[in-house]
Amino acid sequence: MFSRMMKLVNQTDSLYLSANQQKQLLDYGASLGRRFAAIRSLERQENAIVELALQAWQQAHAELGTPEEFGWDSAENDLRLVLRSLAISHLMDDMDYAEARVLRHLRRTLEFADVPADAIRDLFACLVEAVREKLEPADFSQLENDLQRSVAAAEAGLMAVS
Amino acid sequence: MIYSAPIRTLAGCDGRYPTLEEESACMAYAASLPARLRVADLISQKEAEIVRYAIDHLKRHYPRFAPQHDRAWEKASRDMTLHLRYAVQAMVVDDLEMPKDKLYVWITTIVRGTGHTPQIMRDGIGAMVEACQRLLPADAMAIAEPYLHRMVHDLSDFPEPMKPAVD
Repeated sequence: MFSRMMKLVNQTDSLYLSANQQKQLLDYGASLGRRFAAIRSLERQENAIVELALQAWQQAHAELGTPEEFGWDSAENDLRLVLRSLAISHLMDDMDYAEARVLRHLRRTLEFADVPADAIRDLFACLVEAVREKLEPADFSQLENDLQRSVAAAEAGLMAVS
Repeated sequence: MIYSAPIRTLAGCDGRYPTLEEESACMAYAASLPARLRVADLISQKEAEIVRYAIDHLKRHYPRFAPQHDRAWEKASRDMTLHLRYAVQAMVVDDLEMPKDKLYVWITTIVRGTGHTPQIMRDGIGAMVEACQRLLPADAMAIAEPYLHRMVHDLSDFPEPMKPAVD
C-alpha cells in the first residue's frame, strides 16, 4: 500500500474523513505543484547528480576500487533508479514506495558485493549532497526530508544486519 | 492493489519520471480534491435522510421483507449506510473499483447466498441514488454520480437465485 492519501482513507475504516484528515488531504493536493516542480528539477539534473555522487563516493572509499572492480556494473543506472523512486515517493508522499521498489534491493546488492556498511550509508549521503549541490535551494529543500530518509533507511537497515 | 487514480498513475511510472500527461492528470485530481471533499461532507450531512428514503422505498415495494428477516430494516439501514460511505470514499480518492474490492464483492456474495435478487438490490441502492439526486445540489451530484451509479451496478451484479428469499 503506497501513498499517505490512501493510508488516511483506510484509517477512516467505514466512516467519513475527519476535519483533520480532510485538511491533510487538501494540504497534500495543494503541495503537488511544488512537488512536481522539485522532481522536474531533479530530472533535469539527474546525470550530473549521479556523476557527482559516484565521484564523491569513490573518493571517500578509494579502498573499494571502482564499482566495476567490485562487481557493481550498474552503479550509474542504479543511482538513477534511486533518484526516480525517491521522486515518485515524494509525489506520493510515501517513502515506502522507494524503500520497497529500489532502496532495499540496492542495499542488499551492495551487501552481497561485500561493500562495508558505512560505505553503503555514505553512498546515500553522497547522493543527497550531490542533489543539494545541483538543485536550487528551494527544490532541494522540498525534497530534503525524503532524501535524508533514504540515508536513515540505510543506517537502520545496516544496524539491523550488524 | 493500488487504489486511487492519481496514485496508480504515479505507481505506473516505476523506474522513470512521470510524463507531462501524467503530471496533468495528477494536477487535475489535486484541483478537484476540494470539491470532492465538499460533496463528501454534503452526503455525510444528508446520510440519514438518504438511507431513510431508500428504506421507505423498499418498505413500500417489498412488504414481505421484514416479516422474513430478523431486524430487517435495522440491518438494511446499517448495510446501506456502509455502501454509501464506500461510494463516497471512492469519489474522494477517484477510484471506481475500490468499493467493489473492499466491500461490495463480500456483500453480493452474502445477499446472493441468502437468496436475494439483483432486483431488490437495484431497487434499494437505486433509491439511495434517487435520494441523492433530490437532496444534493446539481453540481455536487455531477461529481458523485459516477461513483453512486457504479455502487448500484456493483451491488446488483450477481446471478438470480434459484429460489428468491423475498419477492
